[in-house]
Amino acid sequence: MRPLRILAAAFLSFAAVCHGQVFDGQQLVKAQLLADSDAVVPGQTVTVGLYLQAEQGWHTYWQYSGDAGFATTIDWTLPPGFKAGPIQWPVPTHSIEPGDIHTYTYPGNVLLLTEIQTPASLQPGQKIQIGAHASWLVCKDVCVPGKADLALTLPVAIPSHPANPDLFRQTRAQLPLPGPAPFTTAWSRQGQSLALTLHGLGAATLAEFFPLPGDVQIGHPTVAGDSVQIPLLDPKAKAASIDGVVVLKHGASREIWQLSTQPAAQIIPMSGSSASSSLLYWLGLGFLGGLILNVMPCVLPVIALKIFGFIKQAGESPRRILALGFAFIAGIFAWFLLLAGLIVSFKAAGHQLNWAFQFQHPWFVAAMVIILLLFSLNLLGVFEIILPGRVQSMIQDAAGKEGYAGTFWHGVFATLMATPCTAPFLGPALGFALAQPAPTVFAMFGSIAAGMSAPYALLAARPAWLRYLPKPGIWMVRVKQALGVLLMGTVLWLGWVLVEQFASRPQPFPPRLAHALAQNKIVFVDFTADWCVNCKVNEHLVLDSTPVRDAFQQRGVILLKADWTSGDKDITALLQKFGRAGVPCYVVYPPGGNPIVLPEVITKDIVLSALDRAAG
Amino acid sequence: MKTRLTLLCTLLSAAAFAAPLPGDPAPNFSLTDLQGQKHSLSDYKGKYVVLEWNNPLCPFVHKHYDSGNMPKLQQQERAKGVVWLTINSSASDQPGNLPVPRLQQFLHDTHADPTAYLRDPQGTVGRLYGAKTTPDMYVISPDGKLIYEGGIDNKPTPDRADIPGATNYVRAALDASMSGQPVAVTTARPYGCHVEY
Repeated sequence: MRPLRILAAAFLSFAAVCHGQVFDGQQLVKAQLLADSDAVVPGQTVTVGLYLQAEQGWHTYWQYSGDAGFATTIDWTLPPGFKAGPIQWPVPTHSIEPGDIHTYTYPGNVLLLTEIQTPASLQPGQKIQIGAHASWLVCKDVCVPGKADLALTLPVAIPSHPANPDLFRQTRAQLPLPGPAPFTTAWSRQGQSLALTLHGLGAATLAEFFPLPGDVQIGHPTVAGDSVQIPLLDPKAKAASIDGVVVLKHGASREIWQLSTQPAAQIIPMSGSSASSSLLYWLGLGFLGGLILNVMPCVLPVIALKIFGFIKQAGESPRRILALGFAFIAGIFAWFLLLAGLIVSFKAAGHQLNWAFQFQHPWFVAAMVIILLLFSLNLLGVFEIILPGRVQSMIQDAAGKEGYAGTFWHGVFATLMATPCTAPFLGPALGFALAQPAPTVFAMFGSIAAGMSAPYALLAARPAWLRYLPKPGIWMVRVKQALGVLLMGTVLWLGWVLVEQFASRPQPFPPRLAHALAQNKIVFVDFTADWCVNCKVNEHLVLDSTPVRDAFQQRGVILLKADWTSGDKDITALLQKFGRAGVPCYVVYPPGGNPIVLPEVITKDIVLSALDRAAG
Repeated sequence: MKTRLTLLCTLLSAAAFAAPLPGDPAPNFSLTDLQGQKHSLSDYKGKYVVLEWNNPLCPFVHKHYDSGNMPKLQQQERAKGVVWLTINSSASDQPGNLPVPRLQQFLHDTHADPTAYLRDPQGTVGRLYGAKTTPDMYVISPDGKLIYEGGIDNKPTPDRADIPGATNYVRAALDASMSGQPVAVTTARPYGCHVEY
C-alpha cells in the first residue's frame, strides 16, 4: 500500500508538461516546473522552481544579464487565491568574453525558485494546477531564444512531504542569505564611476560583486580589496548607488548577500555623510540649543543687567546701544568659534595619532556615554560645576571695561562665566563635534553662538522689549532639571546602542575552539589578521586552492579562523602557547590528539600531509 | 597598497581604452564593404552617420529585420541624407562571420538598405566603439560627435510584438538633432546577443 502511495505522489509531483527547444535538431534547453513538496498544504507556501537544463556549453542568464544576453522571465497562471512571489535567483557565474563583454550566466542547469502562497480555503483531496509561461535566451557562440508553456499539478494534502530535496537544497545554498548583511556599505561618486566600499568584513574577503543596476547604465564592476568600482556609461547619470549581490569568502566557505539600496543603518544617524541636510540639521539644533542656554540660571539674570549696562554707556543713542550689543555678541561668537577651532585642531592631532573619532568605534561611544551621564547628573542638580577663582577674578576685571573693545571682551567672559550652566550642553556638543567634519563643527558652534546671542540682538535693537523678558525664578531650575531628564534619556539610548555593538562582536575564540574540538573531527585553525599580508597570501594560494579545499571537504575538517586583527588577548595567549609571536600561524588538531603546528610559510603539500598525519 | 595599485592600473587601462561616450568625438575608422570598397568615417564628414552592429544569426537582429523595422528605418533616414553603415565584427572563427554571398542573401531577403555593410573580423572598430551587442547603435552628428549610443529602443526583448509600442531611440535622436533640438535620450542600455569578437 505504501509504495503505491509514494509512486502516486512521485508521479503527481513530476506530472509537469515538459517542453524543450530544438535548434538544428538538437534539444538545447529542457524546461520543466518542479515543486519542493509532493502536495500543497492549505494556507502554506510551496516553492516551485523553473528547472532549465541547457546542453553542454550553453548558458542562460541571470536577472541582470550584463553587457549582452537576456534574463529568463516567468509569467504565472495561478488558481484563484494563489500568489506568486518574485524569482529567487541563485548566484550566477561571471562570464567574460572577447571584446571585454561581461555577462552573468547559468552554464548548464539552473533552478529558478518562486514561493507560491496558497489560500487556506483549499480542501484536501483537491488537485490544483500551476501554470507558467517561461521565456529565456540560451547562448553558446550563437544565441537562441526559447519559450515554454509549462504546468504542474499538485494534490492538496496534509501533511506534505519534501520532493526533489537535493536539487532544492543545492539551489537554496546558492541564494543570498536572509536578514541584514553583517557589513556596512559606503558609496561615493568619483567622476564617471561609483565606488562601493564594504566595512566591517572582519576576516572575510570580498570575492565578487554582481550588479543590479536597474535603470542605471553601467559598465562591468571591478573588485579590488574591499571596494568595487562601477563605471557609469551615461554622462548625465545622477545615480548615487546601485543594488547588487555580494559574495564573501571566509577561508574555504563563501557567503552570498544581497545589498539593498537603503543606506546601511549606522549607529548614530548624525554621523552620516550626506552634506547639506545634516548641516541644516546642525544649524537648527545649534541655534535652538543656544536659545535654550539663555534660560539657564547663570545666564538669564545677566541678560537684563547687560542691556541696562549698554543703555547707561550709550546714553540716549539707540544706534550706540545696538552697536554695543553687537560688540557683546561678537565676544560670544569669538568664544564659541575658539571652541570650534580647538575641536578641529584636536581632531587633526588625533588623526596623526590614529585615534578614531567615529561613532562606529565602541570606545568612543563608551566615552560619550560617560560624559553625557556626568552632565545629565549636573543638570539634575547632583553636583555643580564651579569656575576656578582665578577665572572669576579675570571676569571681575573685564566687567569694568568700557567702550566697544571692552564690551567685546565682556561678551567673551560673560559666556565663559556661564560655563557652569552651559557645560552640560557644550560638553556633549564638543563630543558629537569630534565625529563631524570641520565645516560642520564651525557651523554648529556658530549657530549655538547665534542662538545665545539672539536675545541680545533683539534687546539691543529694541530695549523697550526688556519688559517681555521672562523674570528669573524657580522655573529656571525646573527647566534645567527637565533638560537633565532628556539628557539622561540620551545616555540610556547610547548605552543600549553600545551594548548592541558589543553583542554583535565575534564570539570569543576559546569557546569556539572547544566546541569544534568536541566534534571529534580534524580541526584546522588559521590564525590571521586583516593587516597580515602573508596570511592573505597563504589563504589565497594554499587554503583556498582546490586540492586543499577538496581535502578539507572529504575529511570533514572544521576550519576555524582566529582573528587577531584587534590583538585579542585569548588568541595572543594561544599563539604564545605554540611558541609564536604573531600571525600567520596554522595549527592542525587531530581528533583527540596533540596539535600539529605548521610552519609560517605553508604549501599545499605541507597542509595535505599534516591532514594525513592528523587522520592516521 | 597592493589592492590600490591594482585598482589604479585597472582604471588607467580602462581609461586608455575607454569607449567614447555621448558628446565625445566619434573615432575615425576604415573598413571594407561586401563589394570590396573601402569606407572611412571621415569620408562622411558633414553628414549624419548611423553605425549599426549586426549579426544575421542573432535572434534580436531578426526581431528588427524580419519585422521590417530596421530596413524601414534605414530607408527613411537615408532618404534624409543619413549615411547608414552596418558593421559585422564577428571574428573569423565565429558563426556570425558569414561568407559574403550569405551576407548579401541576408540583405536581399530582408530588404535591408544600408549605405554599406562593412566587415570587421579583427573586431578593431567594434572594440574602438565599445560595441557589446547585436544590434548596438551609434548616431554621429555632422560635426563628428556622438549624439546617441546604445540600444535601438526601450524594449529589450527578442519579441517582434514589442516593436510597435517601443520608443526608437535612433529615430528620436536623428529627429531631434535635425530640427535643432537637444537629444533627450543620449544613451540607453544596448541589448541583444554578444558581439562575437
